[in-house]
Amino acid sequence: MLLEDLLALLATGVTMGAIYAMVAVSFNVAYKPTNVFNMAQGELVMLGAMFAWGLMTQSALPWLVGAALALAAVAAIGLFEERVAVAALLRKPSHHHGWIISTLAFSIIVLNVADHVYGTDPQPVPPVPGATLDTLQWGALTFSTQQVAVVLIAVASIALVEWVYRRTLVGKAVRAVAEDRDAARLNGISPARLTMTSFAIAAAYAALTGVVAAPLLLASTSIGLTLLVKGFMALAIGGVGSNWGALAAGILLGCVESLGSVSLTPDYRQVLLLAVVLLVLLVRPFGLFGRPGLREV
Amino acid sequence: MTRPQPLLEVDGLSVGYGIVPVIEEITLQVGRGEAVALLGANGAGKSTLLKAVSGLLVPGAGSIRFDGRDLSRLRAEALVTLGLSHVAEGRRIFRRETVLDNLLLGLYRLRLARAETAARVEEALAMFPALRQKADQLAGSLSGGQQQMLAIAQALVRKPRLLMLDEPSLGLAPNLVEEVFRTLAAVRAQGVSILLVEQVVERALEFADHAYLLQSGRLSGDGPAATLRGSEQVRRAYLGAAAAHAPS
Ligand SMILES: Nc1ncnc2c1ncn2[C@@H]1O[C@H](COP(=O)(O)OP(=O)(O)O)[C@@H](O)[C@H]1O
Ligand SMILES: [Mg+2]
Repeated sequence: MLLEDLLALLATGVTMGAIYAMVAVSFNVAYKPTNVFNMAQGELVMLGAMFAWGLMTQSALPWLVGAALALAAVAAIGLFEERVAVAALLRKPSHHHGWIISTLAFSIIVLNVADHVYGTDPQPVPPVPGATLDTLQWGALTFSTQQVAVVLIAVASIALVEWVYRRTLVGKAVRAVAEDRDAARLNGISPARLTMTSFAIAAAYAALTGVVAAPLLLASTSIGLTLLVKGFMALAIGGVGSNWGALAAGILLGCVESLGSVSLTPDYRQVLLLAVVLLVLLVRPFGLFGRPGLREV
Repeated sequence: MTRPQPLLEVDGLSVGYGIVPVIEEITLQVGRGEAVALLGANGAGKSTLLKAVSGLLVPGAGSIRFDGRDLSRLRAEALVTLGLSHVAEGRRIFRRETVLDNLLLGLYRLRLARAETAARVEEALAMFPALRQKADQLAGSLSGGQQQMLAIAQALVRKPRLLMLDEPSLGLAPNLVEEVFRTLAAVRAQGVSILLVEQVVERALEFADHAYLLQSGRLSGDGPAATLRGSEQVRRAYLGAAAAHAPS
């Protein structure tokens, strides 16, 4: 393999990895105050991409306006999901992971409606302002500025999420709910309110992921499931709750997948990724940067 | 001896975790500025009673009034704004946050101005000098006694009108137990009403104005703390079922 080819594959791997990491981080945001994995997170990414197509390509709105509207709309859908599919289950201490079914059901409904509205054809979405899809040559490295933009947005947004949790009182309140829900309530912190906020923000973040990934992947209703699975793998490898871990894990997965594409069919690539996940979990059951949960049952 | 005007009025309260009630038909009051002890053997239902008052458990029957206001429709997280603070059993501070952040989280709901927040935190740290030295350390790294002090401080920053404490001296060395009671005496001197659940019976009765005895989920008696000290009634409530079977 030529050096140029190898570097091009790695560039693709890192970019895809950044996208997987963003999906994983969106899982983490909704998970933190609830211990619920929102199985619809992948379809919320898909909605972000489809809305971006509708608003930016079809309606020709400026990128920033289109992105803001897409994020707001998907945030509202995430909030709606929390109200209908999660809130009632969390109120019952005996919910027994019923959220797996309810959020999956919500996810299937979203996908079916989207298929109906948008059809299954992949659609183009414009790149981030200032970026293009044209390939640049930089020494032996070829890449597009949209790829650079995706990686920068992933890093910056993860830094922002971490900053909120570590430096703001509302972020610390979410951590307090995660650590001890009843103690948080006795201090006047409302888990219900922070759960709604977290679901809306997680949904908006998923939409952002869809908006910035769509120029590279094309917007189609089929991207949700793939991204859900890859995001989940990044979450497992990086360690649930660890956002920087998700970035490292996402990039690892993206690169393995990209390099595997040289000699493996897509089906075997999936097997290879699963092998990576299993291998990591065998050595570190809570992921590379995870730690055993302190949650009580 | 007449008791002060009631601040907390619990009337005919029954509460449980499933359908079976753990405490039944409990009626008690805590007066304004009064210190009340709630005593009883392990498993009698003392913590359950406090959890119902603070809204963590929903009563099956009866009413709870605070300053004349019905609490039964309010969520636990809303009560701190009314002036009711509950220091839960087992030092339930946020171990992964710093001491300072624990105090700030105690004020989360009140949305105070920056200056007022700083003043409240300063007051708390002045009351607990040991916490000041460790303000930037994780609460989980504190000693047991310091964690208990932090749990109390976290409630006190809100300047509650009623402070409920669930076994604050549990697992502490005798000198630390004394420190807890000294703190509570200072709080009480500021006019705060106190509802105290304790295992250290004699010390609690020495501290309190009035005491209620809880036995297997029902009140078995109450009276001025001074008259209950050393009484047979208290001994029986405390030893609970064990006393009934023991040869005398
Ligand atoms: N979370 C719970 N679920 C079911 N039963 C409980 C729970 N907590 C306490 N109980 C039961 O309620 C009774 C009273 O418990 P508790 O109020 O903690 O007593 P105390 O604080 O007086 O020691 C006990 O029999 C206990 O087993
Ligand atoms: Mg108890």
